[in-house]
Amino acid sequence: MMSAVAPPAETEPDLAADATDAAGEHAIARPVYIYEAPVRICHWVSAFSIFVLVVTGYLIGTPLPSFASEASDSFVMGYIRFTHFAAGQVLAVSFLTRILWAFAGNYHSRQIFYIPVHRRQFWKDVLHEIRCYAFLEPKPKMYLGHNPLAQAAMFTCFTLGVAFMIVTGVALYSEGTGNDSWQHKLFGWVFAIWSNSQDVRTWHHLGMWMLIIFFILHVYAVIREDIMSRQSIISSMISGVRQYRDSASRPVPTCLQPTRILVLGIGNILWADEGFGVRAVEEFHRRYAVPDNVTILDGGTQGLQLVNYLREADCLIVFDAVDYGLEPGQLKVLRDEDVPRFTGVRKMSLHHTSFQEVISATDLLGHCPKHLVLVGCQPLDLEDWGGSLTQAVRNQIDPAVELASSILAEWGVKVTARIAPLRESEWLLANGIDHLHYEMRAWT
Amino acid sequence: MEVATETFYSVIRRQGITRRSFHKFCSLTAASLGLAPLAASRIATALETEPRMPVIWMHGLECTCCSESFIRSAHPLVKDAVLSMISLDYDDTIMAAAGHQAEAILQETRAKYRGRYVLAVEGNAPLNEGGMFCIDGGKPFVEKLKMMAEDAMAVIAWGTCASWGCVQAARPNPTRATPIDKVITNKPIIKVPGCPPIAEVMTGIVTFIITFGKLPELDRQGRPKMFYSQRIHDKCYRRPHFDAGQFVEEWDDEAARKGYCLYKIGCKGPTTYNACSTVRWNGGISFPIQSGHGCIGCSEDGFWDKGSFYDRLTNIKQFGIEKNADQIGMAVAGAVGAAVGAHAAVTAVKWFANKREDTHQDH
Amino acid sequence: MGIRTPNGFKLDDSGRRIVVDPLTRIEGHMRVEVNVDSDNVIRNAVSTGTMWRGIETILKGRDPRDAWAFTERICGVCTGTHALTSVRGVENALGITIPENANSIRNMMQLCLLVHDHLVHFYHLHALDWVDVISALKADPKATSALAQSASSWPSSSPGYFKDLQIRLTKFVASGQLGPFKNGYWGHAAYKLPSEANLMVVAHYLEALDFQKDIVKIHAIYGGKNPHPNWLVGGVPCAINVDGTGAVGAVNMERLNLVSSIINRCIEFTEKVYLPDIVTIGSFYKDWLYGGGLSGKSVMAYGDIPETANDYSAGNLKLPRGVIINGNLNEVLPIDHADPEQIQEFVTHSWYKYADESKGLHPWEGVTEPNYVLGPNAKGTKTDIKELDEGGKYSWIKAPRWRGNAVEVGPLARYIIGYAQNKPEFKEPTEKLLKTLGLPLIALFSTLGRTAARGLECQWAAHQMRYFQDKLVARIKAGDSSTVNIDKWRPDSWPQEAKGYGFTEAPRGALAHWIRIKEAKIDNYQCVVPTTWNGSPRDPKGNIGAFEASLMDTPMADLQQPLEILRTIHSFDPCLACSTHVMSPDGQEMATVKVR
Repeated sequence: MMSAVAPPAETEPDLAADATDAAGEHAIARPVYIYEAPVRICHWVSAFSIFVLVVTGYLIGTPLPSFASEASDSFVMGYIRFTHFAAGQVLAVSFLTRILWAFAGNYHSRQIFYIPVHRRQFWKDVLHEIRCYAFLEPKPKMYLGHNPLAQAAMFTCFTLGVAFMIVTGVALYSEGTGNDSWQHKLFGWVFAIWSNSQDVRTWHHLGMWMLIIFFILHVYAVIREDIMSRQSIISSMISGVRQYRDSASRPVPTCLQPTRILVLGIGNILWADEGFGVRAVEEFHRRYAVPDNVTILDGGTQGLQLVNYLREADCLIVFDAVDYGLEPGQLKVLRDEDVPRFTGVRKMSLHHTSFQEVISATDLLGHCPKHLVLVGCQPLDLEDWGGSLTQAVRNQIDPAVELASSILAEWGVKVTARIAPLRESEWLLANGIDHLHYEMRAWT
Repeated sequence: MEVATETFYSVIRRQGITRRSFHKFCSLTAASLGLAPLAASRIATALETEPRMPVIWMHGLECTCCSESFIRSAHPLVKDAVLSMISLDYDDTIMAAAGHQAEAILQETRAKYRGRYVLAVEGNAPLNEGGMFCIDGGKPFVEKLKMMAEDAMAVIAWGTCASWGCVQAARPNPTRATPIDKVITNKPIIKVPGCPPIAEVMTGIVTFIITFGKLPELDRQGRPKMFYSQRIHDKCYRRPHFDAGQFVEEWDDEAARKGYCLYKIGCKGPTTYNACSTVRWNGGISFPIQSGHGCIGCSEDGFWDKGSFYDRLTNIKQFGIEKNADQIGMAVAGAVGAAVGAHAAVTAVKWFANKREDTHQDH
Repeated sequence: MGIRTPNGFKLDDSGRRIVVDPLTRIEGHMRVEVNVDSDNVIRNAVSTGTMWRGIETILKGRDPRDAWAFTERICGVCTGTHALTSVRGVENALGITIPENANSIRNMMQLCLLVHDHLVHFYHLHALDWVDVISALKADPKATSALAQSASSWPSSSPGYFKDLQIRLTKFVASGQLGPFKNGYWGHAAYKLPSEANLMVVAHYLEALDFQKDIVKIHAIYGGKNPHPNWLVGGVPCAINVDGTGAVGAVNMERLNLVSSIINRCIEFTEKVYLPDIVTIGSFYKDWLYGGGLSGKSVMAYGDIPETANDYSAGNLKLPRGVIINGNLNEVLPIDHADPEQIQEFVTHSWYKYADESKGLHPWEGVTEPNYVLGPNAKGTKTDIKELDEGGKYSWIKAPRWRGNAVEVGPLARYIIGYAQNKPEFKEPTEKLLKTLGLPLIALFSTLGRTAARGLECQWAAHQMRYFQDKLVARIKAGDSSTVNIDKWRPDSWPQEAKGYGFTEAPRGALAHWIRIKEAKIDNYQCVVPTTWNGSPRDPKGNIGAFEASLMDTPMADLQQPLEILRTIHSFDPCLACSTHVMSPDGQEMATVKVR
C-alpha cells in the first residue's frame, strides 16, 4: 500500500511580472484576448459613422441658416445629405459584417446579439450590476467580456437601435429612389406600419437621440469601469486584450456560458482504485449526452499529452483518485485555487507525469482553463495490479457522475440522460476494456 | 326612346370637329396622363366605340371640395366628361332629381348595371351615434354606402376624407369618421387622396379606366402610381434651393421674394406623395409652394395631427406630452448628462474616501 | 290646428306630410318636411340639417396659426371664407395687424369666391329649378339666337351654335343615359320658360361650367390652389416681387397680368351672360313671387371687404352691415359681436344639450354636446326616420338668434340692408332691375328676389376685384410690396390668454368665428355660419328659421315632384357642412358618444 504523499504545492507562476501597462503598473498574469480584429474594426467604424450620421442628421432636420449663393456652388444641403447617406451605407455594411462575424468569431463576438432572457442567473447579475451603479453593492462582479447590464444595453441600444435606424433610414431613402428600387422592395414595408412618412422621419429622429443618449452612457461607463475596476476597458477595444493592473482586482471570472468544457477522467484502470477517474468519466459518458461544447475524455495515463486538451478548454472537470487523507470511498470536490496540485499517488516511472505538471504546463502556455473542478475519490486499494475498483470506490461512481452533472448545470450546460443505450462503437472505452467487460465480468 | 348609346367621337364629329382635332385631343389627354404616344390612338378608339361607364357619386361627411375640384378639370372639360365619357347617374351636388326620385336612381343602377358601375365616394361615414351623424334618406349614410358598394365594379375613394379620414377624423375624431376601405372590404378601392385632389388627376384616373378598361396600378397604400408615386419634393422646382441650403427663414423676407425653398417654415413636400409639383393646380397655373406657402401634406394619412404646418419637426403626442423629437431628445439627453455628471461626482467622492480609508488603515 | 309663431307665421301641420331627403344640389346633407293643405299649399315647414362633423373638439388644443386650414375645410364650396374669418379672429385676439397689400389680396380672394360661388350656384345648383332641360330639345335655334342676342352682346349666340348644342343634347338624351338629368322633374307645371329660353340657359349652364374653372385661378395665384387656397395669420403667404432679383419666384408682372385678365373675363361673363339670364328668367317667373319668408321681416349682415387694412368698423366695410327687424326698412340696427345679448344660440329643437335649454348662449360661452333624440311624435326609428317631430329636437343645426329674432342672411339680406342704407352701389342696380322687370320693391322679398340679388352681387364683386387689384398695383408702384407683418408670429410674443372674433360675408351670408386662446393654444373655437342662421330650426319661443319661413304658403303643383321646395330652398344656396356646429366646449370635455 502506497502512502499518500503530497508533493509540495507550487506557487502560482507570475508570468507577466515584467509586463506593465501605460500607468506603469504591473499587469497581472493572464491578460486575455477577448476582442477579435473584426469586432474592433467594426466598433470604430460604427462609432465614427454614427457620429457623422448624428451630426448630419440633425442638420437635415434643422438646417443651417440660409445664405445667398449659386446653387451648384454651395450645395450645402446636398452635401450634408450625401454625407449622411454615405455614412449610413458604411454603417450598414459594417453592421452586416459584424453580424456575419458573430458566426465565425469567439464568444465575445456574439455577446451583443442576444440577451439570455431565460436564465435567471443573468437577471440576477443584471440586478447586481444595477445595484453596484446605485452604490448599493460594494464590489461588482468581474467579467471578461461585457457585464450582463452592458450586454443588455448593447443589445437593445446598439444592435436593435442601429438595426432600426438602418431599416427606417433606407426606407426613407427609398422615397427618393422610388417604388421600383431595391431599397423600396426591401424596406418599403416600413410604410405599411407608418403610412405617413412624416412619422417615419419622426421616429428616425428619435432614434438619433436614443443613440446620442446611449453614447453618453456608453462612454461614461467605459471610462469609469476602466478606472474603477483596474482593467483595460478602453484599450481592449484597440488591442483586443484585457489586462489587469493589480492582484486585488484580478478577477475571479464568472463564466456565464463556458465556451469549451472538458470532462476528463484520469488514472490507470489496471491498478484498482487508481482507475476511478476513468471509470467515472466512462459512466458519465454512458449515462449522459452533452452539448457540442463539452468534450468527454478518457485521459488515462497520457500525462503531458493532456496539455493539448486542457489548453482548448475554458473549464475543466477532472475525475481522479486522490489521497486526501480521508476515509476510503469519500468523495471530495475541490475548485479553482483549491485544486491541489497533486494527484496520482504514485509515480510509476519517469514517464509518469503528475497532473499538477499538466496544469502548470498549460498555464505556462497562457491557456489554463478559467475553472478547475476536481472530483476526487479517496482510494482504498492502489496495489491490486490488474484489479478492479473496490466496492467502496465503485459506489462513488454514481455520485461523482451526478456531481459533475450538477457542476455543468451551474455552468449553464444541460446534460441529457440517454434513453437509448450507446452502441458499442460509441463507448468511451472500447475493445473490451470498458468497465462492464473488463471489470465486471467476474460478477456476471 | 331607343337605347342607342352616343359615343364621344360621333358627338364631336357632328359638332364639326375634324378627325385631326379629335386626335390632337387624344394626344393631349395621353400626354397629360404621362402615357406613351401610342396611347393616344387607344384613347381615340375608346372614345369612338364604347358606351359611357355608369358612375354613382356619393357624399358622406365631407366639405364638397372634391366635387368642386373635379369640375375645375381643364382637360378633359368636365362638361365633356359628363356628357360624353361617363354617365354620372347619381351625384347629390349637381343632379336634377331629389328625394324619392334620386333614391330610385340608385336602385335602378344596381339592377341594370350590376357589377359594371363605378362607385365614387367623396367624404366618409361616421360610425358613432348609429351612423346618424350623417343622415341620408332618413337612414345612416354608412348603410347607403355599403348597399351601393355591393354591386359596384370598383370603388373610387375621392380625397383624403374617403382615403384616410381627413379633418373630421383628426384627433379626437368625435364622430368616428371612418375611411372607405375600413367600411368596404370586399371591393377594389382606388384611393385618390388630396384635400382635395387635383382636378386633372381626378379626371385622369376616370378616363384611364374608360380608355384602358382596367383599374390603374396601385401602390402599397392603394393610390394610383400614375400620380402618387413621387413626392412633391422629388419634382419641386425649388429643389435646387433646398440642395443649396437656400431657405426662406421668415415670411416675406428676401428669400421669400426670390422663391427660395420653404423647408424651414414647415413645407411637408419631402413626405407628401402627390402630383402638385408637376401637374400643378387649376390648369397648371400654380401650386401652394409656388405661391409662397409650404405644402401642408394634404394627401397624406393623418396630416392634420402631425403638429403645426409651420414646424419642420412635428410633434409626438404620446403619454400626455406634445413635443417634437429634438425637444424630447434634448430634454432626455440633458437629464441623462446631468445624471451622469452627478454619478461621476459621487463615484469620485467614494473613490477618494476609500483611498483615504486605505491610507488610514495603513497607518 | 294652427300655431302662430312670434315672427308672424301661421303653422298648420294637419295636412299631408311630404318628405324630401336627400335634398340635392346643395352642399352637404339636408332634409325638408312640409305639410300641405287640401289645395297643396305649404302650411308647415321643417328644415333639418342631417350632418355633423364635430370640428370644434378637433380644434381645441391646436396652434391658432393653423386654425385657418382646419376651418377652411368646413366647406369646399365657399372655400377660403372660413379661412379668412379664422385669420381675422386670431389677429383680433392677438392684436396682429396686416399690411395694406394683404388686405387688398384677401379682399380679392373673397370677392373671387363670391363671383365664382354665385355663378356656379346659379347655373349648376339652381338653374335646373327654373329651366326645363328636356324642353330645350324642342326649341327653335333661330328663335333662341334672337332671344340671346336681344338680351346680350355675348358672342356665342348664333343659330348654328344653339343648333349644335341641341343636337348634342338630343343624342345625349337619346342614349338613354341621362346622367345628372335623370329623373328630373321635366315637364313640371311650375316650369315657365319657353323652350328657347331653356335652350339658351342650358347653353350658358355649359359655358359657365367651362368658365368657372378659370375664375378661381386668382385663388391659385395668390393662394396656391383652389379649392382650399393657403392663408396666413399676419398677412398673405404670396410674396410680391415685381422687378427685383428673383421676381419669377414670387407674384410678379406675369402673375398680376393673369389676375387682371381673369377679372376682365369675370366682369364680362357676369354682365353678358349671368345677369341677362336673371332678367330673362325673372321676366317669365315674375308672377311666382313665393318664398319671401323672413326676407321682408328680419335680415342681417356683418359687412365685409374692408377698404383699408385692420379697420372692421361699419364705415370701412364695403359690403353693408346691420340688422333690420320687424320689416322696418327705416332702421338699420348696429351689431356687436362681443355683446352677449345680441348673438345667441339655442338648442331646444336641435340635437344638442345645454344645462338650461330655455336660454341661448353667446359663442364665447358656447357648449356643444351632441344629444341625438327624436321627438315623441316622430315616425320611424332613430336609424330609419320616416317623419320628424318638430315639437322635439330635429336638426344638427343650432338655432342662432339676434336679440331673440330669427334672421335671414345672404346676398338678399345684404342688398336689402344696402338699399335701406341708401348706398347707391346697391340701391341703383336693384331699382334698375326691378324697373326692367316691372316689379315693385316688395317683389324683392321672394325666391326670385333672392336669386336676383345674388346675380347683382356677383356683378358688384367682379368690379370690386378690379378695384382692389388696381389698388394693389398702385401700392406696389408707390414702393410697398410687403405682404406679411411678422411682429407677432412667434407664440412667445402672445399674451397668456386672449379672445377675439373674426367675421366675413360669405357667399351665403354672415359668418363669424369666436376664439379663445390660452397658453398659445386654442382653448375654445366657435363658428356661427350663414346656413346656421338660415337653416335654423325653431327656438324656444317657436320662431321658425329662414328656410322654414320661406316655404310657407307656397303652392305645389305636384306633390310627387317637389320642384317648388327645391327652387326656394336652393335660392338660399344652402351649405350644410358649414352649418354643422363648430362650437367647442368651454373647458368641458365632450361626452363620449357610443355606437349602440
